[in-house]
Amino acid sequence: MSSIGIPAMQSVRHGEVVVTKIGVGFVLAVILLGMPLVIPEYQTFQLTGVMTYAVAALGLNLITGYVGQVSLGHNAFFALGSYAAVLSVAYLGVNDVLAVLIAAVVTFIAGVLAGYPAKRLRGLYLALITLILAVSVVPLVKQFKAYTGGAAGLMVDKPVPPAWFTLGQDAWIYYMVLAFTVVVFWLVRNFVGGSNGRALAGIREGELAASSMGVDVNRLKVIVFGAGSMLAGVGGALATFTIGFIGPDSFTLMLSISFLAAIVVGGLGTIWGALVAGLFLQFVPSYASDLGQAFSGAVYGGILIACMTLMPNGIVGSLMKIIGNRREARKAADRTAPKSAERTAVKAAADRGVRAT
Amino acid sequence: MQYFFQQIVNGIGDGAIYASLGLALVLIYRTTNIANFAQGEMATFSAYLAWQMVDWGVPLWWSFLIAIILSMVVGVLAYLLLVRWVQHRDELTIVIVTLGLFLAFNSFDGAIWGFLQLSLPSPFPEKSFAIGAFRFNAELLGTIALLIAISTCMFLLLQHTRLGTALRASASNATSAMLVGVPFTAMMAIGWGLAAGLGAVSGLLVGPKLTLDPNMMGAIIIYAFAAAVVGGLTSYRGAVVGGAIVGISQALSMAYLPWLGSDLQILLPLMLIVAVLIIKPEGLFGSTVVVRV
Repeated sequence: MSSIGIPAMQSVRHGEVVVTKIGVGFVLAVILLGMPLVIPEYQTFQLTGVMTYAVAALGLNLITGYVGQVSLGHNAFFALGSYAAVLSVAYLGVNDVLAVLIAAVVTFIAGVLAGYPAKRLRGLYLALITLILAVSVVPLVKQFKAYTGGAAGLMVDKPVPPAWFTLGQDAWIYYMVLAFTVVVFWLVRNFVGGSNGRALAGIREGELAASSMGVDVNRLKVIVFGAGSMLAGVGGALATFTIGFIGPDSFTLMLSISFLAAIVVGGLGTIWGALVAGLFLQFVPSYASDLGQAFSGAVYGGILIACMTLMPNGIVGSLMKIIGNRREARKAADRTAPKSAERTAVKAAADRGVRAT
Repeated sequence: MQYFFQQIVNGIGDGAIYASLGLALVLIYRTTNIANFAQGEMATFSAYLAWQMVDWGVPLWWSFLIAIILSMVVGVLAYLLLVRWVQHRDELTIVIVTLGLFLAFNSFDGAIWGFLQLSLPSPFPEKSFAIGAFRFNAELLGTIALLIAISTCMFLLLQHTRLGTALRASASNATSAMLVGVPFTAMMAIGWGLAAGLGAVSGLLVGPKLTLDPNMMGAIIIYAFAAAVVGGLTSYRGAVVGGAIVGISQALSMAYLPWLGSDLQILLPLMLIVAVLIIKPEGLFGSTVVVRV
């Protein structure tokens, strides 16, 4: 996406940038909406999976990337959302969209309750408590066997398209998930784009400084923990409806660590990093498990360590840095140097950018 | 009543294992200010090393000794090759890197020794003694004796040797320590090595009790963290007392709260940690206040 938009933006003035952005958005919308028409059913199903994971990863990125709180309990909220949605369909008889919204409310409340002690805890203690939350999911699911189906899990009815919709069930679910994804990404972008985003960055970089600037640190932390958990719940509910099955084995601690690895790869504290994370979560595990049971852990472990030490900004963060550096260099070159020197300056700055990341 | 006390005795036996792993966590936390989530998996790796030695026909005690020494080397290497470079970064980075180590050790064990369950022989004889109305088996007594021996050695090392003084100096103020000529990196590496050795002991104690598989320490590490946090995370004495508290409360809840089932026992350390953090966030033996239990 950035490769379409950015080169044009460099050379045009402000008004034209907006036009370019609208153009990019339009093309993107056409591609996203047209996707199920051109690609096979199975790939539609996979893309739906990418979006469900991206929504949940965006939630963890809010908690971990934007505020800097380490949560290992994301799998717990993912599971809670899934079970809330499935059980509300089974026992309340609501439709699927309403079930996802119920899951959102339930996980938001649970997230706020969990976030309440979390606001007082420094990173390590929070990581510990959420770690225990993460490993208690499977035992809890087994304990309430009568509702959850225990270790064997439950089959879930996938959303059924109405009669007028002729593209098939996978495409219908794709559009349903797409709608949720777009709304969620739009809401989060607005949330972190304004003063809230700067307040969050303030908390991450220096809590004391942020609170002395009038940021209500505790309130914001609890809200973000609730909202991030809610997105995990929404993602979980959507993923369960996409797959058509729910069972405790998909909600182990490994899921939390995968989420963490994915947002680290995608880019902590970036919106689009969550989308990269979605792609990562959908495709990497299946390739890694083809190579053997032991290998998937090695892949995650290696990626986590390598990214954290060599590329702490992740894919999206690094790209944005490179682009930002180039733009700066271009501006500086426009102001000072004649045209002939421009190329070398841009190139030098770009090199610096690459080395800096 | 006798049943009650018997549970407490058994709890102390389990608690000794949590304490030894908890001591390793405290040691690393104090020297490098890192909570090592990979400690349990490193201990599992040590247990596998011992199993491999036994399998090659090395006598049992020698296998255990070699496994502990090799584990210390692995701990030193882990610090020098990896942890050293991220040590001064933010908490998020450190937690993520130790989680990466966790996965690396876990899958390494699985890749080499497989995911099937192996059995590690116990170093203690299968005898039991009756003192009054209580029964102690040799394993329980051996575990407790071992923990006492380890704690004493650690105390002597840290408080009464030049090396121990240098270790403590590096941990409490790196710059000053370096100024007076203490080799900082070497001290940190030794800290990690010692912790890996302590972890190895816990792995070798757990191995014969449970069956040996790559996820053996999954629950134990959580109890060990609970022990360390209850004790205050910076206190060696706290880790030992915390281990006993966690072990005893686990034994009691198994005996008297059967509806929890064996699965939900995992909620117990959660409750303990939350309770400690709410009532006394610095833990029982946290830096300022010292309480005898």
